[in-house]
Amino acid sequence: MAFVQIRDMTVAFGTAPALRGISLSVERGEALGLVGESGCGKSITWLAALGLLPKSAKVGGSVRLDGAELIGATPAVLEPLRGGRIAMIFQDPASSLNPVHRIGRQIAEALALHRGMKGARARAEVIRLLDQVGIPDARNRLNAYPHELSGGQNQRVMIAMALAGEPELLVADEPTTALDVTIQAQILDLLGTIRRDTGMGLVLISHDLGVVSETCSRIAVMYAGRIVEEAPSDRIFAYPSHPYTRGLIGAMPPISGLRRKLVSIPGSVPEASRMPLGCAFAPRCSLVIPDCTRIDPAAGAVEPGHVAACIRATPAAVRAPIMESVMA
Amino acid sequence: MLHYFGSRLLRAIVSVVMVVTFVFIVLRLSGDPAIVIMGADAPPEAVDAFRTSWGLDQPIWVQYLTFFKAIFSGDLGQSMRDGRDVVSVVLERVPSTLALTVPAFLLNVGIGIPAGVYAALHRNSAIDRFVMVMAVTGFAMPSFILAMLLVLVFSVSLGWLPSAGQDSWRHAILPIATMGFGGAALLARFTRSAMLEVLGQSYIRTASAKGLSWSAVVWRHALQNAAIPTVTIIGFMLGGLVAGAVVVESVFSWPGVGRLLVVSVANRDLAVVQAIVLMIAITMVAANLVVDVLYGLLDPKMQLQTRQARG
Ligand SMILES: Nc1ncnc2c1ncn2[C@@H]1O[C@H](COP(=O)(O)OP(=O)(O)O)[C@@H](O)[C@H]1O
Ligand SMILES: [Mg+2]
Repeated sequence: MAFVQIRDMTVAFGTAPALRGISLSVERGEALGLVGESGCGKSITWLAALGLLPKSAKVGGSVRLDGAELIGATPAVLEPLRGGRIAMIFQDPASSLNPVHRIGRQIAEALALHRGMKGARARAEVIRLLDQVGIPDARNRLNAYPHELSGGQNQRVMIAMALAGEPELLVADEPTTALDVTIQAQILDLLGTIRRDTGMGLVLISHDLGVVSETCSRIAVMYAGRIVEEAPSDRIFAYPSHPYTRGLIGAMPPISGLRRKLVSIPGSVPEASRMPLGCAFAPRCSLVIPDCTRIDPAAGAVEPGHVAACIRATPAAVRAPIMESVMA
Repeated sequence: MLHYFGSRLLRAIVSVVMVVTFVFIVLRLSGDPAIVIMGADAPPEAVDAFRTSWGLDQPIWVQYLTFFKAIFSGDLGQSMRDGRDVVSVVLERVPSTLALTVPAFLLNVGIGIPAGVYAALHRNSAIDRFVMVMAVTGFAMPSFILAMLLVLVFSVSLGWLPSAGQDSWRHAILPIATMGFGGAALLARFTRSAMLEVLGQSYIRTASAKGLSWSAVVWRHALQNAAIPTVTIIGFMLGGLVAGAVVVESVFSWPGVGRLLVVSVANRDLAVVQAIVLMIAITMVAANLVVDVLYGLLDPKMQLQTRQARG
């Protein structure tokens, strides 16, 4: 059984469906990447799973953690596992930390909650955690306030706070988006190191396919509240089967020094209240056929462990002529 | 920190001097105390003698310098009415004013803050709407109208409470209610919006994601952050209370400093007016200093600025 099993999860704000049936599973210790443009529903997928959305959000479907249902669970059930079994860190580290509390206190709060640590023991553990995430001079830095640290350091503090509860899974929601490029690489390295050392699972959310491809073994691509393609990372690049995935790959800056024109996908993600009939991507798709605006495509296997929700996707073995034309 | 408060204090002293100067000049330009106090039909020699004895025949800048020299030797002058020392004339009214403003302030804070926090935490609930309607009403209604309404209901119609005078604690209820309600309404509105602003911040979501219960999130993470803008409003409110006392004491014939001020302005009792204005200015400045200190304690960013300013 998967560690986290999401089935047919829906989220609606008022009448607008923001998530339209998400099924996703994360194995123990696995690194899963969740990609898609901003507004696709990546964040609310995990906020909903942990019961962190405002009351105005209607959440349906099922999320099981080790078999136990989380949707509709009471605070008494959810609180110990937030930060204790699944920790979450966010995009903008500077505003994600409480500006009026010292960082040491904010980390110690998680230690008290999940590991019952207090006083000198907690302090020693805070120092160890700050060391682990690469904050220099941890003994003094624990007295700093968030505004006294850089963005990268604040994100390290967020990671230390997440590690404090010894979670089995870390959901990192665009952890590097607000940081500049060299710091981004350092934070991704740090997450990799921590995973090696602790065996902790990782869900890495990003709008950048390049960021997740380096860190994650499996990738799920989201579009407009759905998962449109899911496969092992190498297969996503070797055989991208949804036109949206191909669009994301086309929009990636090249890793080599080779200069190439970046092709961004025309148009933008539809708003939840104005979801088109049929395939939500059809209005932006270069391969659109009349059926696309009528049939809402279900996810189908293109090869073992690789699914795509596109009526024009074809099994890998067949290698449709469309592919040739697109890749040419 | 010391440097910071040193510069604040200097600015405060400058404000007090400016207010007192302004009042000094306006009072002397806007009417002749000799005529007002001696009466319009007093013989001219008597009026002249009055002017000479109070120094009113001197050029205004001479009067001003004399006044300031006297202040620094602790002498605020005598009442032109009865020749008594103004400090004792004013001080004997202070307890009466405090008897209204202190309970009113406690009501402001004791009702306004919890109501605002509760409304924010239960946004769009029936209680939130009720609080907001009361807050907008209390904010929009001038205090003398509220005072009239309370008199109409509780004194005239129901006959429960007296409408004027200072004979018993029951006389204090309506004036305190008038000042208490208006300030509470103002504070409830600001507290609610400060709280809503904070509750929408990312660090609140972080605190929940960490596994804290909602009440711990509110108590440990939301309230201190919401307190920072709220403290500023409380500082302004302290100033508003003094102004409110002038109105409310007049409406309810409450013999406090506020009513003394109104009466003394009408009578052109210059030294008394000046002493009261000086006292009010010092009170407000002191309130602002307290706000600054609280600010420094609540907001670590202030502490950083202070450290930078000093070093
Ligand atoms: N609190 C909210 N109220 C209303 N709509 C929301 C709220 N949070 C998210 N949404 C909507 O849900 C959609 C998905 O949001 P999100 O999960 O944050 O996207 P992503 O993380 O992929 O950028 C967006 O269209 C957004 O407008
Ligand atoms: Mg997001």
